[in-house]
Amino acid sequence: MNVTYICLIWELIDRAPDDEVSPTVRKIMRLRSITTLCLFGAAAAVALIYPLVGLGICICCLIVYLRPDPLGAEAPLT
Amino acid sequence: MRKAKVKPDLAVALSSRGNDMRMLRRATPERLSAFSDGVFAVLITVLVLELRPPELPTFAALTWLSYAVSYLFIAIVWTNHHYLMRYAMDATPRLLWFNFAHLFSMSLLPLSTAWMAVSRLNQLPFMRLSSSS
Repeated sequence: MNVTYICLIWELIDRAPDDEVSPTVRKIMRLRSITTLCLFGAAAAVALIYPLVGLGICICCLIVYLRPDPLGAEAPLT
Repeated sequence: MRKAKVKPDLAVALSSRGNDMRMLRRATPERLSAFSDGVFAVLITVLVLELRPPELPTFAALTWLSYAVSYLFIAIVWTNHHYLMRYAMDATPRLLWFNFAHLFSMSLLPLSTAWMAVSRLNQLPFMRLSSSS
């Protein structure tokens, strides 16, 4: 799911003009999605031995996404 | 012969060469968002339909935990999807297919939830949930 989310970011955020999305926001969103992708992968591996720890890592990753726009992001222009 | 009126909001553009050739309307992402919202709504419904009253008067903690996590999962994914779609100006073919792929991965969530609930801390369903995330 995170992979397809990264694809959506690539299509919508990375291709948006600079006046709509600042390079910082782009960078933060890309970094966040790649970090959580790695964490989800780690959670899948950990869950093979400690299922609840794996679930805990997943929940931690979800908390990062509670606020969809990264800090410092402005609303897109209408 | 009376000419048919063309509403300006329909944005039917006439080609520069001939008056009869009409170009396709711009593919706006409204239908894409509406379809995605429908899928998210169905997924939440499917999740709750999987819940069964326990045969014994016990509190099936794992069932409720898996339901709560999955519900939170769908809510967060919808919120982020909603945020991203605000940047969509056109429904490009690539956006359509990325969105379908995203919905496909989401659609597997109820399966992971149900499996996690019935497996009683077996590793595989948890791994399945993590990997589908």
